[in-house]
Amino acid sequence: MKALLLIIPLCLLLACSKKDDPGNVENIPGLGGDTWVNSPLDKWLHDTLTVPFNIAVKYKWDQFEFELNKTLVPPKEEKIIPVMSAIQRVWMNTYIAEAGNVFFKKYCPKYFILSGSASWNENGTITLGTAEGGRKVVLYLVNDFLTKSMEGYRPSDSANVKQMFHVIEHEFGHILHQTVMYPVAFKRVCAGFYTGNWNNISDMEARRDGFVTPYSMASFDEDFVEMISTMLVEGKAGFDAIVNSIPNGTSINGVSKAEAQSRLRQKEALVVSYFSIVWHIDFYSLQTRTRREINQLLY
Amino acid sequence: MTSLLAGGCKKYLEQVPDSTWTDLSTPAKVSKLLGTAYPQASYITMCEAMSDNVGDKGVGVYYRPNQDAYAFNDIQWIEEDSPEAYWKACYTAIAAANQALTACDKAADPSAYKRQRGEALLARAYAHFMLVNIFAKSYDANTAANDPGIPYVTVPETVVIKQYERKTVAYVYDMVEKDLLSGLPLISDDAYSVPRYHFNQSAAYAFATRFYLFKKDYPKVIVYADHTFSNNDVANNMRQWNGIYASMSPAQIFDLYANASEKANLLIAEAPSLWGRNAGRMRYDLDYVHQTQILGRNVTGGQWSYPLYYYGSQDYFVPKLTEYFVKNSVNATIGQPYVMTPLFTTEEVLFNRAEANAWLNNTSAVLADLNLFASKRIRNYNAAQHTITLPAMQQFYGIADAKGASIRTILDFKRAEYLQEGQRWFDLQRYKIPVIHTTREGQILELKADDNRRLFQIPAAATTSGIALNPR
Repeated sequence: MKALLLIIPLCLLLACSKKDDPGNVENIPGLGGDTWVNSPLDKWLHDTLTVPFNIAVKYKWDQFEFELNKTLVPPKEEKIIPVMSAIQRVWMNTYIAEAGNVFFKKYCPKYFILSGSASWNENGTITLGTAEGGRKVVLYLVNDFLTKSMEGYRPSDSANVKQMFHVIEHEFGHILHQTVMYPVAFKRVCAGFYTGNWNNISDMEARRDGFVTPYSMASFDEDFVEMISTMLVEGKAGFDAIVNSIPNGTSINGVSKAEAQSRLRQKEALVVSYFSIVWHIDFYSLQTRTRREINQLLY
Repeated sequence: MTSLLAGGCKKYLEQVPDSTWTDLSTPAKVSKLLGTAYPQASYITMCEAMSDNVGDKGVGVYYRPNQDAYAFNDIQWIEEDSPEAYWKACYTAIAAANQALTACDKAADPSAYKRQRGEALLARAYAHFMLVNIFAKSYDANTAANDPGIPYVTVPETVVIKQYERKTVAYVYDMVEKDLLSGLPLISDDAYSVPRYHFNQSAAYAFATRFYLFKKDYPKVIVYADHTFSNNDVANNMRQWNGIYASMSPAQIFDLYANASEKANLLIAEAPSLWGRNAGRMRYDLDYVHQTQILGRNVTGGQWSYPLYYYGSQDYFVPKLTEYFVKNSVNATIGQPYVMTPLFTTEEVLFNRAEANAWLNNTSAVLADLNLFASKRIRNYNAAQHTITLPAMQQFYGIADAKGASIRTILDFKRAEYLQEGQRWFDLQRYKIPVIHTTREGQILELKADDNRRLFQIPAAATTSGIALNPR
């Protein structure tokens, strides 16, 4: 039996040696990753994000970082620094100021992937960002980014830029609740009103049911992080304006104005207490800082 | 030491081993055997993928019973969720029923086994009925006497490979009817510890309504439907989608939906299946277009209260059936995924009665049932606003004839109610509705009214028993 086993590998080796020469295996293009001469952009990313926070930013094209059935374009190189420095001001610096360096280094996502265009879905919606396992964050629509210090900025562009901040605050919210879950009471506030058809619901219809955005109707988790991101990006006054914009009467789902407003306020209180109890962060102070930075960039 | 062990051993060996499966000397033991007389397999994956409830999403979980069925090909899979698994599970269930019936016949006092006989007859009829509707043509009085059926097995198999005949659909229906009618009067709920896991009275009558509806014997559907619940109280036995379900989280719904504490579940059975894990996530599954079509506008003008969620960005699902993972042993990390499936629900009795009434031109009775259904399904139901009328149905569907408009409404309501439960397929079969599937690659696959591929293929292994395969 042993002899037989020995003979078989020998035969295989013999068979193999007769096959074609596999070529120069030392030189397969791209094996071991892409290499390129570091540009000032690479140096800026390294010095600003990688050295202090261990954050890598991938802007070179790699479809495998995205969904494979989506058609996307790479980000423009001149957009990378404006996007990342705006994120640094609005999101990183504000969290560091409120919660400290250790908190931020521990929980911040370590891998940013950038896409120039949005990721279009079957149902007509676009995906603006995704977070995976608390480590990787994909940001889409980088090529539409414009702030008031950039050429050609019109106030109407602020919506796109605010969306970007909304996304990063949203995804970081996911990381926080994936680390320590929010209280179950949050799930009871709007129980029964969540739906996969949120994309067919207008902003105002969502508000009238006690949701801050239509997307927050997608699930409990989305509701929680949409509350965080909307409150941070719009600021206290902006959020109050949303709550006060709910008109009299009842929604098509039978929710009264008072009920919708109370739901939003209950959820606000739960978010604030979650930040205070779990993360020892004064949410309102974080909100003020975040909104101040956004104002300086946009208005 | 040795003697001690021997002593212990002797006592152990003095006990008769647990032989519930072979010793059928008491009615209770026969009842235990009958716990296995229900098909432990699920047709949901394959039936859903054959139906018009699904589209090609381009990406998703690849699963043979899903992808082959969508392409209208024979399913290259013999494990859970396949036609082969369903076939095997039905005949396993039938074998248990036949064994139980033999025990009832041989008993010294057969009258003590009345309830067991009733359950065995109903279970045997049910398994054959599902087989004939999956592997043979839907009942059509004009052709049933010639359409090949499936073997109707009434005695335990005692040889290694026995030869069987498919006979005809008409023959199978006659046999099912015989078993059903002789079993029905013997059924009694007090025979069961958990009636919803067995053919209880309501489940047996619900089965009768399905049987006669499929056989197009409409007056009988109404008779049995009216007997299904005490005081004919359908309303209080329905699932409360716009009641308690409306404020539940998906996790809570998953817990309740196929649970024996839910009054709407008339008969529940377990099955090894990946459906609980895969529902919505497979490549050929409920997509945006189909969920909008099925759960969007309806004749009431109101909104369905079925909660719709999605995974990722396009994997839509209504929380219903979930996975029960049965570990191989206490410390195992491997095991078998199961799903609990409601085989009959209250709503089906209502639909069967409404459809029978539609065929008998009792439009007011149809409307009474449909409005009862709407009152339990429409969000914030308001009779003044949402009441279904004949003109409303005629206008909504653009069908002038009352019967046609009623049937369209019933089939659409059923499609929404049983979304992701496989039932739609049987309606498509009964009405020979063509099904069109398109693929991402631009192919258009059509299943015409009399397409041979509408019959799931009989397992190749069955040919050793002399059973002819379906034509292709």
